[in-house]
Amino acid sequence: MAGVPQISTDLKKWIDATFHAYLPKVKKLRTLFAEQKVDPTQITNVYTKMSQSYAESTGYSGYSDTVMSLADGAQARIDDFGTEDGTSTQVTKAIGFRIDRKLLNSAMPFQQEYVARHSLELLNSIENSVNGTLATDMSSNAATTVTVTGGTWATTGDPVSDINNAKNSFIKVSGGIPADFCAIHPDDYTQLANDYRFQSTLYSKGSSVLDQGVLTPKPLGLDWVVDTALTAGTSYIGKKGMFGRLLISEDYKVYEKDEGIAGKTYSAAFSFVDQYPLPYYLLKLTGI
Amino acid sequence: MVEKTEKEKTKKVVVKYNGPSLWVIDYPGRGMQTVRPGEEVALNPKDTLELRALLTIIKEANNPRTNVRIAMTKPTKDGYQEQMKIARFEIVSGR
Repeated sequence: MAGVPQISTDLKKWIDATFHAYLPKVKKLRTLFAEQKVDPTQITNVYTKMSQSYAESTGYSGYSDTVMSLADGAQARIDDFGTEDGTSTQVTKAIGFRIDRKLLNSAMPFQQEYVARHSLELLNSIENSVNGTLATDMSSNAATTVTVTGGTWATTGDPVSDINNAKNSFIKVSGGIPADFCAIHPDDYTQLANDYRFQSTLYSKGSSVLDQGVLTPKPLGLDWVVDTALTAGTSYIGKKGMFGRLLISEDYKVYEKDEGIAGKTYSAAFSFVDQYPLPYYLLKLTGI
Repeated sequence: MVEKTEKEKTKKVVVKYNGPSLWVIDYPGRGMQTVRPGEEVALNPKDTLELRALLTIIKEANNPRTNVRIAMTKPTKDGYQEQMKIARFEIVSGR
């Protein structure tokens, strides 16, 4: 338990310290969002979303009409810019555990280990749930969908071709901004290591899949976020911190309650709102 | 000749895309088909690649939580605004 101060009696502080030490290690999918701390009562749940699309003839544009060459004396065509209302809801995730009276009275080192383990499990469970919610919301907010039909990566699909084509679609819709991350389920990520191009150092020099199990640092130029919160067969490609923001209205808070003879309960809560103001920086890849 | 008649008889499944931006269907060896918002695509269930695309879309369409798009607000008769939710992927025919 490096980095956690020695506190044996005030278990709430012990749990807080465990959270502080281990939170950066467990947060996964939510690191892709621009995080901001906000007041729990001062959240605007409705926000403006910008939409942008691409056509071969016009390039990327937020307007639905095309830009015309203007004749002398004529007026420019007025069109609504591609904005729409987005709604977001504040979500609180919470869970707790109880420590029995006998354990509370114990002076054995086992007590601290027990509490630390439970704190970590609690933190992990909440983080998993937060990431699960984010994954669902990313799915409904991603502006572009790419469906690949070459089969799943485990069968006949080609990960390199699929990702490159998705990156190409992303760059067109985003107006030239390249994607920098791929969020993926571990079932699909494994298929990269099974691909001979990542195994062979002739293709990717940084890889040592066969001897050390290590992929090249940035396969296909992307940072890979592997999270079980995502659905297998679906991944997200996007621009970190730009497609969405995570407003944290209540960062991890631990609540202690004395239950008398039954012991004490410790609960933690985490509240957040996720918003997607620029969803064209997020692409959903399905069928992999 | 018989085979051709069979192909002609195949009923294609029409899928409408209502998403905010593009839907790209990537057919290996055939290129990519780009679908703009509001457009419909007819997919042939007897073609392996098109069937795979169709299965993915059926999966999407059957998930009401994620298959949504908040469309622009629409003014109501009494002067208020109503927010419209529409399905991103809609299976139009072939059910």
